[in-house]
Amino acid sequence: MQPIFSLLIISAVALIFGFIVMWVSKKFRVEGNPIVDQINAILPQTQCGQCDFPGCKPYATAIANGEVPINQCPPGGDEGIKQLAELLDLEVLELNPDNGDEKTMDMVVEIVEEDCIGCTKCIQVCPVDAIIGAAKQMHTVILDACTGCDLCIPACPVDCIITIPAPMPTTIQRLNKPTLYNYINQAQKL
Amino acid sequence: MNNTLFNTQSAPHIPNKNTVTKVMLTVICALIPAIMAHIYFFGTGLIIQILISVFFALFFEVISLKLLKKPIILFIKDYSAIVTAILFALCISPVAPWWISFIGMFFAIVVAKHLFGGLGQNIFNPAMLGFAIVLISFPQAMSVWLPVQEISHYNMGLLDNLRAIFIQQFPSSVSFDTLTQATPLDSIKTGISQELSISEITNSPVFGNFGGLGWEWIANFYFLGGLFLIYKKVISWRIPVTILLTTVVFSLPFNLYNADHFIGPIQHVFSGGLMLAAFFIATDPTTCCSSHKGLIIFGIGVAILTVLIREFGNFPDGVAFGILLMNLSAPFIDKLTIPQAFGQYE
Amino acid sequence: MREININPNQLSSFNGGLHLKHHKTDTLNEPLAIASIPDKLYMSLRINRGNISKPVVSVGDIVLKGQIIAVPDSPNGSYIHASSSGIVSAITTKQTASPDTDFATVVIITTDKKDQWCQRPLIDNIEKLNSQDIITAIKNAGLTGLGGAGFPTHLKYKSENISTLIINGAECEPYISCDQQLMIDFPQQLIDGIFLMLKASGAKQAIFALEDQVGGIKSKLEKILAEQNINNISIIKVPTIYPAGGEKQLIKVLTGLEVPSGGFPINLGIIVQNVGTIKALNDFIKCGQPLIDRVITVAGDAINQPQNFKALIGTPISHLLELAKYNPKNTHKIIIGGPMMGFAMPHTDIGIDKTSNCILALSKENTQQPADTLPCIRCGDCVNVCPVNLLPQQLFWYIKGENLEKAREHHLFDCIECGACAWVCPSQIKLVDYYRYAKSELKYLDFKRKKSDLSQVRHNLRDERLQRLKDERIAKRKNTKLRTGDSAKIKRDLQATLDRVKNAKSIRDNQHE
Repeated sequence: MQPIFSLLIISAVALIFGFIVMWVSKKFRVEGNPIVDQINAILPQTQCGQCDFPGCKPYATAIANGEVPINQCPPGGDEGIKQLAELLDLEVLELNPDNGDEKTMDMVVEIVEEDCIGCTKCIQVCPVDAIIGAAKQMHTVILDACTGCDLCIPACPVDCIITIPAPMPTTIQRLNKPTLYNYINQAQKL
Repeated sequence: MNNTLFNTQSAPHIPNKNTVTKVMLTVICALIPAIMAHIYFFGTGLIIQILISVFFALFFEVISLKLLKKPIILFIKDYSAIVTAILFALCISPVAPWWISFIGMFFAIVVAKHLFGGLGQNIFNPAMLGFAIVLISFPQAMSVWLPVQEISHYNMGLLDNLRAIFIQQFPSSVSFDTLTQATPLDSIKTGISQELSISEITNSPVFGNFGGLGWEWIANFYFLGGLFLIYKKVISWRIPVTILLTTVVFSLPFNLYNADHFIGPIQHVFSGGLMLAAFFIATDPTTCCSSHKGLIIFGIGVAILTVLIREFGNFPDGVAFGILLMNLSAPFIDKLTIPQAFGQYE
Repeated sequence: MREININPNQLSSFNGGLHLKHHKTDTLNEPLAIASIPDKLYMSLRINRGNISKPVVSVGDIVLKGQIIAVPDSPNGSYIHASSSGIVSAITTKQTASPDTDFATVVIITTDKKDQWCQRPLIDNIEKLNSQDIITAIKNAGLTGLGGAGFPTHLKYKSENISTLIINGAECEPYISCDQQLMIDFPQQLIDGIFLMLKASGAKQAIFALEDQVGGIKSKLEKILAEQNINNISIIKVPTIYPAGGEKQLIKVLTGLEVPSGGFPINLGIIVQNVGTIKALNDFIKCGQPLIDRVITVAGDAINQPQNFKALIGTPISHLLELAKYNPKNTHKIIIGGPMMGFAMPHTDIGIDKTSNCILALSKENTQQPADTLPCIRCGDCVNVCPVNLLPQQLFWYIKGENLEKAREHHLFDCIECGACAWVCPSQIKLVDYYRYAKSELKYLDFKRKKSDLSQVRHNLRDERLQRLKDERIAKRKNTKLRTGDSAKIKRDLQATLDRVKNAKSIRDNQHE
């Protein structure tokens, strides 16, 4: 008789606690940012497609579903991977070289306007509508809106799109990180 | 036109001549009076212990630096390992066997310091971690202490100390029990477990005017050394003051409630390692908090934990554990006490 | 408007700070010297970080003294006037006497030594000038803060709620004595200038703040004030603690008020002006001379005749060093600014600009680091000296680990880069370098974040647009389908046609047979 009793009591207790947990989780649910949006906020929004997805949001969705690793975004670079790993509590990975390399400098594209034939092909592929122009008219890039995704470069039939360093407000001047232990670095090289 | 290239290192262009080495040397200087007092009361054992600890500390320091491929001369010259070794030697018994230092220094230098990244990166105070490890692992060897020389029946000479430390051979002319003596706090702990009252216990010759005999004077010299450090701005007044004040304030109610069972505040301050800890160990800047408010919380925490462990714990002295536990919480205290920057008022 | 009452006997103080050896007597013992006109003037068009004025002269032009050679390009810009007459021999991008020796457009004038003035804008009725006139004059004179950051002066006078004008005569850095020299030599001009500034700002009172280690100036100024029966200017000595000359620190010491984080003194109804700026305004209104010269200290242990010079803006450092008889062999570092916050210059072929208050030539012994950089031992000395209550060692910790957002949470942007923490550091860590790096990097990351937010918006808009176009196309196709009628009828018609073809075929086959 006794084992049955204890079994019943334990089950009852488990059931009660189960209900309490259910009730608490419903009552105090945090309406947080959906995880996809949080991931998307970390991604650099270049919409370049180097991650094999058509834009940042689809990649974010795929990461949220656990379908792909977090190391497929070259523009986000190591810093982005670090942030994603922190958000999702995953291991920090090396950037997948198949997806491309992290650029050392911010670049945007510019149309060499003398060569442009006005075919609108680049306008159609630009993910952020940063190219303006019309058929048979010269096109131009809104430099401040260009993300440097380079999708327009292969689309151009006359190769008139070149990359240039991204324009930066003059108040922003990046300084080099100071090196601390000169002596330690030297000793480690020996 | 003159186109010579000048040095373009950034400001400040006239550097202060303060160095880590100077900081560490000041700490060592501040310890000298207390060391002298210690030798006066307990004999030459301490000198041997300091030498052994320093030797092992440097030995492990060199090995670790070598393995970690860091510049050895540069880091030996900062004297931080020597300070650790001296503090450790001051905590252990003057006749503790040599391997206590060996094990203690291994944990202090290799585990607590270099495995956490070396100078300035450690979470735990190296000396205290080493001390806590040997205290837990070898309670027998750690509890053997000498009586103060003036009440002792037999004063151990240098040779006796050497033999005791290196081959654990005590002079055979007198019995082991007359030769050694428990520390004051240890006596209290054993006394209480034998259901003696505090006043009965403190009547024994181990105790002096207000603390342990001898101990009270060593504590006074630690206090002097500590004042010197505060004067030299090597340590801030916040930790020592809060530790001493909190110890008194926190132990007073216990003592008032039952003076026979709980140690009085003065006894708390003057017998045992509290003074050493308050001025020299808890103030280790690497392992304590960074903000001014944090330092005060840190000091209060150390004192409360120490008193609790002394009164209710199994160990006679709880300073080491108090400090280690507060070391652990220092990052959290820091996180909660980020000071308001200039102009950051509501 | 907040009333600000100051009790000279009960000054406030800020946290930390340093007591430094001031090294000022050498230069103050010598009288103010007038620097000769150099062969070439390097007129830097850099006003402050991110603002470079636009040149309005071209190579080969003959310019006269006081002629405008550059006009502001942005609201934070300012005019620049030729310091002496001569020919514009080049307009190039060169290193300037600014933080990090930034590259900027520099107009190089080969002087003719005639020092010929252009038409000076003389003002007849100084008494009748109203506030707006003076502010316009400040702008036309090309006045920027002569103390350090080079913030254009006229921008400070936009607010209407100004109660107090603080004249900053407290030079907290060692060696620099140019402001004190100015106060010794031109007390009357300064008082006149303060009146103009009071009029421009609408402030009721002016407070002249001096360092307590300089003697004689206060009594001199007070004598003038008493003679002329002036009672809305008070002179207060502040304790010489570095960085008491920083404007936020000075306000705190004088009034006990803290300028809100990220704000300006104007938020408290206060304007702080350097004494040099006051003198320059007086020069412009009284004699029509725009900001083309300033007093500059040339000092340091590699200088044989340390002295204050009245030098033209754009004078090359080498010229001033030669006038002060420096010892090139002994010189290890040339610094523009003070020893705590100044910037080391790689060579002397750089012209001084409006903000250059001091040239220091230091020998190797004086600049030598006592030891190599060691890791931070978190000793907390930096916390004790930080004038803005930061935790420098924590900031350093986070920045070293690239945890920049954490550094921002620890109020990195409130750091005034005074260098007190780096000076006391027993490990000899150049802490300020780390903070400047982190600030620049955070600004850059913020810019990138903003850009990526914009891209996201644009991308979403594009997706919406494409979806809309697609929907429209589908809708259009549906519409066409509806016009052509129902599918059963089409099928019937098709069947009928096929039947007709079939019939015709069978008839043809029959005919063949």
